[in-house]
Amino acid sequence: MSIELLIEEERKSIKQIEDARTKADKKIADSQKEAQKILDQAIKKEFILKYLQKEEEKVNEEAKKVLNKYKKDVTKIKQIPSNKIQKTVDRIIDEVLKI
Amino acid sequence: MSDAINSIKNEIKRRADEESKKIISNADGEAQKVLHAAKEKAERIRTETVKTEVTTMRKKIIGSAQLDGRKTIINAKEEALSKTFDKVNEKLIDIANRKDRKFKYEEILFKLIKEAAIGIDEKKIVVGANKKDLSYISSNLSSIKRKLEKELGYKLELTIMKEPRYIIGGIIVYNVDKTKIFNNTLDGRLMGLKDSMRGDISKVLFE
Repeated sequence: MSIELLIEEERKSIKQIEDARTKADKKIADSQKEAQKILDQAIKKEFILKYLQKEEEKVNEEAKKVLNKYKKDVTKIKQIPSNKIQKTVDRIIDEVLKI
Repeated sequence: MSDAINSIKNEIKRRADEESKKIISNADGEAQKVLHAAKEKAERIRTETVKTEVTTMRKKIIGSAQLDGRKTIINAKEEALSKTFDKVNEKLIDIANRKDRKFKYEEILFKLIKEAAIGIDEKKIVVGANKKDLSYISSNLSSIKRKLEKELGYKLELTIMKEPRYIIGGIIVYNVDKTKIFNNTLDGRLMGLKDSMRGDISKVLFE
């Protein structure tokens, strides 16, 4: 009787370990499936487009700053002091009439 | 049940529990590794895939902004230069109309005729000018001719064109058969200087 109890207990333990192995294999298999989903997602167009859109917005902001810098330079050109212009005019006149 | 049997039974159970826990724990660890590796790889793929596109897009957008910016600078400079030359034009008109007392226009006119005569290198020349200057030259032809001959050192036959030129001032001189021409108008002289002086003028105005 006692031996049978022990044999039964051993059978249960073997089953328990087998069940644990089955569960373990499923966990690993599930993680591999999930990993593949993650990799597939990485090259999905929607994600890439969204990312690109965000980057484009950043670059457009940068471009605005570039243009603003040029606009400031244009303003400087349009605000050349009149005495500077007059000096230039006189210089040209001198050249025209240099005979 | 004897104590011994109980003890063995408990040991079997204990070992089974321990083994099961170990198996599950190892599987959890393995699963985490797999997921972590996948996430890292996904991030690398995303970055690499998008990197080239972002670089290209950046070059295009920033490049375009710089090009537009440079164009606006060029246009602004052209406008400033154009306005400057307009002012020069206005001043030349005043000088030719004898409104600017700083300049003795008649002396300028004589020098222009002399320079043109030397350039043409002919004994007979024909002089063209605007209406006002033709009238002046015509009224003072003898004295102008005399002075020219004295300064040039040879006799000179000077005729005036009948039709006036639509110019600011200065003169055009031809030889008799019109095979030679010397444009010594103020307009022509200004036009000739526009290109050659552009660099110097830009330096003065924009630096």
